[in-house]
Amino acid sequence: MNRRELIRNSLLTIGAAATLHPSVEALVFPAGDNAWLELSRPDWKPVFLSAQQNELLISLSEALIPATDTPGAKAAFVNRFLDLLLSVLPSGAQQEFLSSLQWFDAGAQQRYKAGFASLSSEEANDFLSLVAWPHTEYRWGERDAEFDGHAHFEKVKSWVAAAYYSSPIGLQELGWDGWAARGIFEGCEHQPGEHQDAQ
Amino acid sequence: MRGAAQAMPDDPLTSNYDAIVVGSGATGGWAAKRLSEAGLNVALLEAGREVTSREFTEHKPQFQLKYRSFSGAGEWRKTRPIQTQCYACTEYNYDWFVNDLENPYSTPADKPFSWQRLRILGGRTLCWGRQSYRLSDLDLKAASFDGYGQDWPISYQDLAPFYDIVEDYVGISGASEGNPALPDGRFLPPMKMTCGEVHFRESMSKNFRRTVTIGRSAIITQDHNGRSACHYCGTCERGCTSYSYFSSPFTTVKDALNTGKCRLLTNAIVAQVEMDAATNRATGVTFVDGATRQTKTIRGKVVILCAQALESTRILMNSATGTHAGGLGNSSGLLGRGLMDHSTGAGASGELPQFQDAPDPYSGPHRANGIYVIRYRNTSKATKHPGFLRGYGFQGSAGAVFNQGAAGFGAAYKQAVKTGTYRISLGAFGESLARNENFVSIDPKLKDKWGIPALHISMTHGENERALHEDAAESAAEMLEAAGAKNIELRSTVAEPGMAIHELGTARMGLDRSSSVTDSYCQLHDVENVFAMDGACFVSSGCQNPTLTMMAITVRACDRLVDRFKKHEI
Repeated sequence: MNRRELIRNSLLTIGAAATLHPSVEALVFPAGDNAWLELSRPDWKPVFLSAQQNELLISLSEALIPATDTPGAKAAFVNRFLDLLLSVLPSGAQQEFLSSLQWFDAGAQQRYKAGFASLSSEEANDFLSLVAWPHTEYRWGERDAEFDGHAHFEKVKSWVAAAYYSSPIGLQELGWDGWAARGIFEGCEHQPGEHQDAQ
Repeated sequence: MRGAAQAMPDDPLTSNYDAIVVGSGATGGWAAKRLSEAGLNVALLEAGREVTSREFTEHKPQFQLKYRSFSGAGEWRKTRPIQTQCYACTEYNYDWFVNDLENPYSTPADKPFSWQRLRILGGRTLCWGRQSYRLSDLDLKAASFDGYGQDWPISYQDLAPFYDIVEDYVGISGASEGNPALPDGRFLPPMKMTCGEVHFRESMSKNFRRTVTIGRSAIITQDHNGRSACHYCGTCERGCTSYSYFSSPFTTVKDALNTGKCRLLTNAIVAQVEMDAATNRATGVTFVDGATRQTKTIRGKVVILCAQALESTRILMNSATGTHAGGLGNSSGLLGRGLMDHSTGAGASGELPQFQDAPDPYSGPHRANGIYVIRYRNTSKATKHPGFLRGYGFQGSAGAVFNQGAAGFGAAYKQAVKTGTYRISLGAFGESLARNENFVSIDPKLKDKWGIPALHISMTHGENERALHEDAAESAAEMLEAAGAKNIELRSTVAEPGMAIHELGTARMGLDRSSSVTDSYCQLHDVENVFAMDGACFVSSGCQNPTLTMMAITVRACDRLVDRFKKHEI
């Protein structure tokens, strides 16, 4: 048994002694009340987004954070959490998000004559590559202007990333292994002066 | 906890206690412990409810919360528009914080003040930042050094033995540095620094002769006084199953109740101190039972206010009588004056690209502590700054962090988030000068849910704080650059008063009753059996986090009080 396991076991003992419950709440997932279970229901339906907006968000979020060797935004139910969140936010925030979301559908229609959810993965990547970086548009006879697609990209991406990396799948991506007890913070183990090359 | 009080009469209001302690946080817990362990009969009144470890959520994953504590979501936010300005008030624990709608206060329109409060057994010790630093004579005798304000009536030599007592009990992890601006204490083993922090410490020593130390924290790094060493989950503000950080319900209050001499009354919202006009002595306090809304009175030989600086002063002001117009202890006219809160907001951050470490995995150890840059301005003639008085310290950290803000999308973005970025940041805590134009008073119209007159708070940071923070921002950037940081960003703003959550002053101590409210043992000059043993008695703020000093002052004052009881002087 290594030191980390020892600490985890001792925490379980402490926790059990400290609570009236036979099991220690929230030390190990899943335990206790858990909003994730509600999002995972097979009969889930959106409470804020329309069916079209929901499909658009699923496609867009998966294009932003796709399944690779780990699951992506769709599997993390990013759309479901954002639907819940949007349902309780002030109307200004709701409209701001929907405006950015719909911009992608309008842009896809303009470029590919199809909604974003209908694009092939190559087309979606091509479209996102256009908006993923700050860029200015040159218009004949006018001053250069900021391409507003990038602002919409950043807005939707920040929401999607926040929802993804707070989901169980996103946390696993960052090294969450189901445990909360962490071990010992080892810190720097170099000898004094060994960082001089870092000046 | 309650079992220990079985020797007490069933009705807690029938006794005449030796001491009534108002508030169960850092200082109230110590007062109850110290006095009851000395054999005095104590009533400990707490405005909030009890708390148990079953409420702790430090290990609960974010996705188990309905709204994952995302900004703007949750009905509870509507009742806590001020409390949510505090990073620690989240969907996990908002119920520990006061309902702002039930606990109003007023400010001038152009002087906002963010008053962040917990009403629960233990008060803010459940969520505090845990940074624990001693003051030095550079702070306690600051007026003698630079001519501004008043010296404290006590010196470091007076306080040092009580710092020792508190540190030995609480458990402060830290490292001795031998820097006179920040006296060393009796430390448990320090937490470790990251590579970037060690590098920064070496760079500061070499380039500036400044001291960077690991944060001195009330988190224990080895088993101590029946509590277990920190397990580095990193989210102390949600409670701690192993009681590894100091929190009064599970330490001082628990000890007090275990004596069998201390009676705990929760949901007891104290409105005022009751006075006997004939003897000019307090006879007890009146409180509103938060559960029944009944008004009740409890009697005691001394009244010790540990309700938090502004709440204690509010109680004193609401206790005004014909003899004590303007509140108890106000013969100097200074009750409520000299409000301070450390100035914050300035600093700098950047990247240390020379370090390539990956972020610690989410389930890896996380240190709820950082580094501390010890004050270096105005510590001697050689370091005198022409632009401002007093000084500042920095709290900060360096390490690899996940980079959700990485550019791009797709698989490359996922990898960039995981690869992370190595960042360093410093944030200043500056001295807040005691100025009489910063004050609290009773709002003539506003009352809380229980009908108790509410406070009017009027405070701004002044030109000294602004100049201090401008220097802090420049200095932070200079230090980061010297350490090889890139993409440095400065912040020279001064945050709204209250945001440090270090409210101090309003019932300052002193030897001269015409220029202070209490004596050096926190006893009101005007009423010999009423005490203000919390941040209210501070004369100046220093730049160090104040809770350790508040606890040391309380222990010193309580020991003196016990001595007076023994001599039958009370």
